[in-house]
Amino acid sequence: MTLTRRRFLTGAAALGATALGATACTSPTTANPGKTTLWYSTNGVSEKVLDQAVRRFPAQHLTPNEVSGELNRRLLAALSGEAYLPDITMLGDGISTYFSATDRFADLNALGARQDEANYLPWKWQAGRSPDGFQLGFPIDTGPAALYYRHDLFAEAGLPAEPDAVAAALSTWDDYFEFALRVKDKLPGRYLITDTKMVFTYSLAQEEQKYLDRQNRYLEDQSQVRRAWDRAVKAFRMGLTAGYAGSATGEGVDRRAAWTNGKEVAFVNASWITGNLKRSAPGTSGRWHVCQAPGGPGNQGGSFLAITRYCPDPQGAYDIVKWLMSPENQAAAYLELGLFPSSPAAYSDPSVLAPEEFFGGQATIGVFGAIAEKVQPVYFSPWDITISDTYTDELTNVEAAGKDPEQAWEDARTAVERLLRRQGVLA
Amino acid sequence: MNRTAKPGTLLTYGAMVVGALITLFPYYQLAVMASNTTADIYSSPPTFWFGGHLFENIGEVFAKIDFFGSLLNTLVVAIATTVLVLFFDSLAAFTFAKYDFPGSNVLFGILLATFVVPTQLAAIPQFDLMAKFGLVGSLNALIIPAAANAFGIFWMRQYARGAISDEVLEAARVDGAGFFRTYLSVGLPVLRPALAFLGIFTFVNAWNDYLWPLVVLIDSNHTTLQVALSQLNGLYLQDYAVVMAGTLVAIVPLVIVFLFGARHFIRNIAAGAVKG
Amino acid sequence: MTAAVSAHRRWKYLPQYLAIAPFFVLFAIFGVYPVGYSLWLSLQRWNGVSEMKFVGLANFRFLLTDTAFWDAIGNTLLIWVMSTIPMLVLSMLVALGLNSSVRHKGFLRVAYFLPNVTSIVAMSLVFGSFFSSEFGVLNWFLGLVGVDPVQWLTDPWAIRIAISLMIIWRWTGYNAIILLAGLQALPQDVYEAAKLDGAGPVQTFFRVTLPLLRPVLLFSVVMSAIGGLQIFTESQILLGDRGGPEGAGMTMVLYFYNTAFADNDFGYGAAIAWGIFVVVVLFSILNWRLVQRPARGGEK
Repeated sequence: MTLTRRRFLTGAAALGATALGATACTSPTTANPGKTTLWYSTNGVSEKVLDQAVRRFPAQHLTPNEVSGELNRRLLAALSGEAYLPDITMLGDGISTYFSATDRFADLNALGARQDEANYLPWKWQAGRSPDGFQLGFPIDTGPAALYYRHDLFAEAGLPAEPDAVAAALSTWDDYFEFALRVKDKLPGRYLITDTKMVFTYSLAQEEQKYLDRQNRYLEDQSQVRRAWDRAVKAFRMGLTAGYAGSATGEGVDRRAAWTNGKEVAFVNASWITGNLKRSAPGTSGRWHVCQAPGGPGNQGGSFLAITRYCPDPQGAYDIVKWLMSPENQAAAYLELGLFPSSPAAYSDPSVLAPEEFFGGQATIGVFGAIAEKVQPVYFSPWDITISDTYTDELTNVEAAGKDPEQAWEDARTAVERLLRRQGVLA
Repeated sequence: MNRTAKPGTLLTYGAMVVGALITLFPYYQLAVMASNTTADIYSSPPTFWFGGHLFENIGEVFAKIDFFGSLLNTLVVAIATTVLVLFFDSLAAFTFAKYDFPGSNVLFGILLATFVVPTQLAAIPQFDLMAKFGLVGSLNALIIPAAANAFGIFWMRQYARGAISDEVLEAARVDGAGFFRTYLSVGLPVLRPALAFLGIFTFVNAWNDYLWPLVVLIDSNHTTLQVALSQLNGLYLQDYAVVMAGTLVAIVPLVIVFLFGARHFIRNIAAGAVKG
Repeated sequence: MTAAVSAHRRWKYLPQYLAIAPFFVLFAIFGVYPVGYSLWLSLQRWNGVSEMKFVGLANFRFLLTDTAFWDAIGNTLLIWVMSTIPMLVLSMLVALGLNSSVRHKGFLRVAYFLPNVTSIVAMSLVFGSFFSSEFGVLNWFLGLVGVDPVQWLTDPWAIRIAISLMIIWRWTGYNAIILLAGLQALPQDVYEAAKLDGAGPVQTFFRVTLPLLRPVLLFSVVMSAIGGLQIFTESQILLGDRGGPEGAGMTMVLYFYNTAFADNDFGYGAAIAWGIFVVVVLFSILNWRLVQRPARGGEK
């Protein structure tokens, strides 16, 4: 490495000048000035539909940008730094976090959303509206939860394999646990329950309330949480949970391996997992069916699109959003990724009634549609994600570290109450 | 093999080679995974031999993330940081080592005390500062705060104290050379080995920095290699072979840089510890 | 007259002050200001987008009774000990090996050192696959020698071992090179004296080499402590923001990151930053005393 003095100095001077010169121009407010940037998380919006939109709206220069699972963190950072902001962004079920910052977004009602409201599920539409009537989110999908199972392996083990028969045999969680025990005998080393988190999350999703009410008050009665907790602990005690590494965060690669090699023969999840399942385990195509989940209908997740205040052409952005979420395009997103349409008109679209190859010829809309019809809208507070994480962290401690379930429950309750006290929800 | 080698030496040599192979195994296995399909990686027993899908996987990486853009950004940050650090640190180190001026001891003491401030924890306020400067998302947000650092000044001062003789400085003064000229003509040439070390050290650190870029570079199309890599992991968990291919192409440039500068670097890293 | 002299004196040293100024200016902006700002922020409740709300010392009151924070401190120190001790022993062995008359020293040195310059993010991803309980090579190797599979990323102790393994892999070569330089700087006459006294190689190592290497060893310990208190990337990539079962991989910096940037609790995040600052200062004082003691003894 020869570093002559002159070369060093010239280089230093040039770079110093470049750095100073670059300092003079500051970061742009939106990510791609002159273009309409749309942020979405993996499998959150259909890329095929997005591609069509790019061509359909040349004036807006739509620029889709996939931001993986950390969209929320990036959006908050961009909002507080007021730089590189998206014009349109996806928001998850934690949309209520942004109700206290509606001045950063465009009110969709001012852009003509009132005329479109009637085409979407009323409860879902309402979930995107702040308490003072600001329409922040345009519905993408809802999350009706069903049982996904490998019909080939069920049949191989001499168990019922047709959706109606499976659903009839597994109407309650206890039925499901008993069934899982039988499968374990016949197919050793395979699992029907991903982890305690799966049981807790989807059991709670079947309840009429979660943690807080619409006024962000902590519910006096948290017995529904305890019910879901006890069910999760029971599944663990019966030795039915696989407990993959990282599954608590949903980012584990082991579970994907288990899908691929057939170790996970069934699981309960909202319909939006379909895209992930198809892409993670393409080799299992044709071997899956879905049917009603044990314990009844429930909804988990579902997203929105919002337009930020920084978007120079909100009306143009709204046109894109409206087109992306038209019934036909929602039907396409359902078939591609399992994003369950928030527009009822999409349920009768001929394309979704056709047999689906990945699901062994089953048209899954029949199953998810029936569940979606019976789902009760449940309020999702700004702290729900952290609260759920706190409970499922403690469940993971029981499952992976042998912690006493009662102790874990006490610790989770204490941690949740401390969090809410720090946030000023509890006195 | 050396015929006259004693059995003890042979044993040591064997152990050293086995240790080196274990150390290098992760690189080998990374290349293996990057050249197989995801289904092959998931298989049990694990795959230990190369597959034929390397270029296909790398192609996916290039399609998914702006690899060359991230590479360029990382290069700009690493080079700019390195040059600025070398200049500012060597100048300050030369001054602290060879000049006694009012307050020099106190100021050097303050400099040492700044070691204690864990830089990662300033992340929230620094983010806010960058927002005020309008630099959130800009590469300058990485370069400017890192342009001079206490470690480099301290380390170089230790080196300069012994390496630059007072007689030469005095001779330069008699010749009528000013302070800055003396630094250029006397200080810098002597400090060259130390500069080479600090240069590689700074370059490697800037290249591998993760937490701060993760926080401040909010536009995923305008980021560094490390952040792009962690995004690829989030985006492509469904196709693990692609994540591995991305990991492979991300480490190759720096490994090459290191292999070229390795001799200088390894010799000097130790010099700092033993002298300091 | 005196005033004129001191003014002259001050101007005389202007170049020197200018030469050291860049560091101090940068530190004032990016070091001192953040300290003040984070102190102010730690008194607020703020999610990053809504209005800030002043809450006084409430965040610090929560911090003192926050078991998750205390666990993170304990965990960080635990992982530091679990990684540093084996790492130093291995480094010593590698250094002794490199100091003996083995062949291919250049290659060996580069091979052992390479992990230190390879991106932690990249290698955490690779190690993540090694630790997989479905297809990981580590469990496969263990199976070859008859050991039952280990749940590397779900069992709390296995998680700590997994993180420690990554740290050991990364830093053994680095410290070996430093110890090697220390070995090479030792005076040869002491060894000849030991040989004359009839001391064997093991005895020579423990009686002569190790005591003489003490300052270099301490340097390694201090440097690894500075790095060890800031462990973040390995945990975050391997286990996600929440640190895995029982928070076994939850380190202080990860807890800070998770609170501030994942849960958007910036006020409390700032309070945690201050908590970490206190821990680091206490640890540094401890370290400093450790390093100072032999120096004083040596001057006697």
